[in-house]
Formats: sequence, C-alpha cells, structure tokens
Amino acid sequence: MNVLKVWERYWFPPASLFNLAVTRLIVVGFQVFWLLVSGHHTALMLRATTPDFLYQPLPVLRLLTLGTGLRPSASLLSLIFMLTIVAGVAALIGFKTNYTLFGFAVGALFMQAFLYSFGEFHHPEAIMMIALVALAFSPCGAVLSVDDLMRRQKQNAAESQFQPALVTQEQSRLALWPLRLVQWLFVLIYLSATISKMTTGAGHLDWMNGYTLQYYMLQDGLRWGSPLGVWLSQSTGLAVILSCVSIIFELTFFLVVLFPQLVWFYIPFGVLFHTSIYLIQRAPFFTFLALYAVFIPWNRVAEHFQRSAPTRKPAIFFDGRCPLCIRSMTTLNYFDWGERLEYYALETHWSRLHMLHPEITLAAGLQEMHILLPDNTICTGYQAFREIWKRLPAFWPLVILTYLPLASAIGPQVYRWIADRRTRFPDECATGVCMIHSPLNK
Amino acid sequence: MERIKKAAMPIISLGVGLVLVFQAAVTFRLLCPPARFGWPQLVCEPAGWPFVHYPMYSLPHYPGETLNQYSVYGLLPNGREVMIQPQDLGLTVFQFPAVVEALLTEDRALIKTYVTAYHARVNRQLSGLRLENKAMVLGKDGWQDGKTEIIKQVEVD
Repeated sequence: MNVLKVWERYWFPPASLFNLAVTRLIVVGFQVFWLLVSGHHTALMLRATTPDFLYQPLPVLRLLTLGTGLRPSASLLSLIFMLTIVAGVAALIGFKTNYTLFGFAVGALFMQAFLYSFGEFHHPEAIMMIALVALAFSPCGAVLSVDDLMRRQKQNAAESQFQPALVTQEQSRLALWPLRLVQWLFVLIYLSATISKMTTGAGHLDWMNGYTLQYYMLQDGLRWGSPLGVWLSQSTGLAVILSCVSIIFELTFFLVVLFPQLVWFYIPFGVLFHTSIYLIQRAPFFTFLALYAVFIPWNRVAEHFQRSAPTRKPAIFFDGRCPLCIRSMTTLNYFDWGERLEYYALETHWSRLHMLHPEITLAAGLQEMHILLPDNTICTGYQAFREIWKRLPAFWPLVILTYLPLASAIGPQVYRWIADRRTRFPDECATGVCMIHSPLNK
Repeated sequence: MERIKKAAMPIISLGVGLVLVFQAAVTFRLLCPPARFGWPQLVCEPAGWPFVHYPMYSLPHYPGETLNQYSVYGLLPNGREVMIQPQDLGLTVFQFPAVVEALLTEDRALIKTYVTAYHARVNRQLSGLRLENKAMVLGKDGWQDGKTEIIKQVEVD
C-alpha cells in the first residue's frame, strides 16, 4: 500500500503543464525538422530499392504491419512520410494534439523501423520513438496548443469578457510522468553505455587507456571526413582525459534525476559532450539534445522572465464589448508568458487612460486599440499591434513582416478594414443576455 | 475530469513500469546475456528495438593494432576500373563491410549478387571486383601510415 502511494506521489504529483507543453514543442518540432532535413525520405527511397534478401523486418515493424512484415512499396513509403509530416505539424501546433501526436509517433516509428530492417540499426532514434509515444498519451496539448487557445477563446466569448490567464501556472497530475520516464530512460541509456565500456574486452579500465578513443577518433574521422577527429587521434594523453570525462559523465548522470538542481551542470555538459562527439566523430546524437528538454523546468525559466519584467508595463486598452477584441486579447495574453503586458477593457478602465491623455475620447478609444507605453506615450491601431508583438517572443516573426517595404502603408489599412467590420455585443450583454449584431459603422 | 485522471493512473503506471523494466533488462543485458555466460538469450538485438543497449565504441583497443581502410574497385570489361561506393549498391556505409567480407571470404554467390545490383543501379557491367586496403598502425607515438595493398581480386562470369 505504501509502495503504491510512494509510486503515485513520484509519478503523479501536481506538476506544470507548461513544462510538458514546451517539451512537446521542442521534441516534436525537432523530429519534424529532422525528418525533413536529414534526408529521411531519400533514405526510405534507397531502402525501397535495396535487394530483397537484405530485408529482415524488425518485430515492431511486423506488429505495425499487422503481423505480415510486408515490405512497403516506394509510393506507400512516400505517402506515409507525407502523412507523418502533416501529423507532426498538427501535433506541433497542438491541433487535436493527442490524436495527431499518436499518428506522428506511429508514422515515425514505422519509418524508422523500416529503415532498420536491413540488418543495420543505430541508436540515436530509439529513445525518441519511446518519448513520442509517451507524449501522445499525455496531456502535452493541454496548454500552448491551438486546442487550448480555441477553448479559452470560446470560453471568453461565451462569458462576453476577457479573462486573463497565465499558462505557465497550469498544473495537472498527469503532466510529470512522461518527463520522468524519459529522464530515467536517459539514466539507463548512459548506464548501458558505461557498462558496455567497462565489461567489454580484457580489463575493466582498458577502455580509458587512451588508445581506444584514439582508434575510434581516427576510424570515424577518416570514414566521415572529420579533420578534428583525425587531428585529436594523434594524442594519447588527451584521449585518456576525454575517456575518463565520458565515463564519469555517463556513470553519474542519474544524479540529475535525483537532484534536479544539478540540471544546470549536467544538461549544458551533456550538450557539450554530444556536440563534441559530433564534431570529432560525426555521431549525430541530436535527438538526445532535443530530448534534454525533459530536464528543464521551463515554468521557472518563464517565471525568471516574469520577475525581470519592468515594473511599468505597456497597458493595452481595448474594446471590451467586441468579440474580435476579446479573441485578440485572449491570444496575446496566451503568449504573454513573461507577463510583459497589462490588459484593460475601456468600458471599465477608461478613467485610467483619460487621466493621462484627456485629449483621447472614449469614442476614439473604441474606434481602435490603444496602448499606453511605459513612457506614457500612446500608440494606436496597427502601430499598437507592432509594439505588442515586439514584447512577445512568439510574435517576433510577425514583427519582421511589419518592417517589410510597404508594410507601414498596407498594415494600417488592413487594421482599419478589420476594425470597421468588427461586431459588438449589444447593451443587453451587461445583463447576461448576449447577441452579436451590427458592425460598428452601421 | 479528476475521476478520469484517477482511472488513467494505473494504466499509465503499468506502461511506465513495463517500459522501464524492459529498458533496464536490455541495459543490463538480462534478455540477451553475452554468449560466454551460457545463459538463454531471449531477445537479442535488434529484435527489441526501440529498446536497445548502447555498446557503441565499447571494444578497447591497444598499441600495435591496425586500422584497416578498405576500398572496393569494380573491374570493367575494357580493362578500366571504377571505385564502388555503398550507394552504388543500394547500401549504407554501415552495410558496406558485408561487401568487404564477401570479397575476403570469396563468397562468389554474394559477390555475383552485388555485381548484379551494381549493374541494375549504375547500368555498368562489371567483370570482377578488387579489394584494396590502406592500413594504419596505432603506435605509442600516434598513428603510423601503412602502404596500400591489394587484398583480393575476384573475377565474375
């Protein structure tokens, strides 16, 4: 009974959904990117023409082909590749997250298992496959997703008012287990690597004799064309030091799971470790770097930015009776993880703006969005959006667009066009009965 | 919602437990112990993929060892020769040692298969294959360059 409680406390405590969601963004984003740029499709096509006698489907591939182990054709592989990418992009943005992520995980697993069904397999992708499946069964789309944003927009629209929320503080008892699972898989993987090094060959410490690493650095340096590997392979002393560092890192990695505060030592060191291995031996363990996301307390990183936010923040004054404005504020607030902005509905906070800028009438305020900057200057409409986007990293790509030629001419017109056609809740809304009707200018 | 979460926990726990137990069994090679132990080998790699152990680069090396760099050349009927790359045979760098092995052991049936695959992919008929090696020796003062040697030359029908 106690063991079960300890188990439940360890795997299912209330934990940050934000951490899980950021991990989804990094892991799925990486995997989609990697499938697209690493020649995955080309590799599939090469395998499609590999002689039949080399084809030995892995058990997991047999399982995915319903026990048949049938060899898929090149066109079917292309189709699976495309569907997997589509599912991956949907999972990345968080659209029907669990379903699309499950599809993405199965597609990625199928393709990788197929590639490894020709008598050759490698290690970097294995943990990624397990992690994707685990994420698919978790609430990783509960925040930072289109699903969640739409839910909040619907909720605010139904309540006819904008309710600010901070996604970094959302919690769930199902938010930690996938992260802890991958953390322990890392421990077992590094332990596996160390045990292999210490138990293969004649003497347990022979692996650290320097010659071993020299041998592998030259072998891979020549095979994959790494001048750095070839150069480093000349020094036995340096190879001894690098060998010892590798063993210590792998053998003690479990400490970062037991003492999470060590994350700021082990994870940067792990990044350095795998990057060095890539530069020296071209062994591409980039999946490990992406999966290190499971160790980072992203909510604390966001809180750090919240704390470092200036005390005087830009204040947005918006039309609180306009559904489009409520949706816009919900969206901006959704990505305001550092609490960089304040949000005020003009109907209830008009005096705040009027006190500093008596020249602005309420009608003008309702005509277009106003933002009061920390130096008390005012920006309106399109310019206001530009100022807001500058402060929210998720919108930085849009900021670049606003600096394109003609953007300053077209942008305000687009804003005006949309603003003039937006609807408002009728007055009855204040009594709880809300209907959307006539545009402002009618 | 809370009730759904409560119901999900035992199922997730089972999944988490199985994943960790299986990965641990693979890590400590319980499912596929080294042959020298004489214990039963239940699931050996790559059958359990994506649950694998990580023995990369684990074999120790010592001074005096040789690093072989094999090259395979195709012999054309007109007497010229062409270097054969793994992709010419639809293989990867990691599968290419099988070609070297076939030449070292003079496995004519397998060699014929590779020659046929080369013809199908590159549209060039080969009359034979030659295996060359440029060995390097690991010494106490670093690497010593060896000379290039012809190891095998096999004609095909």
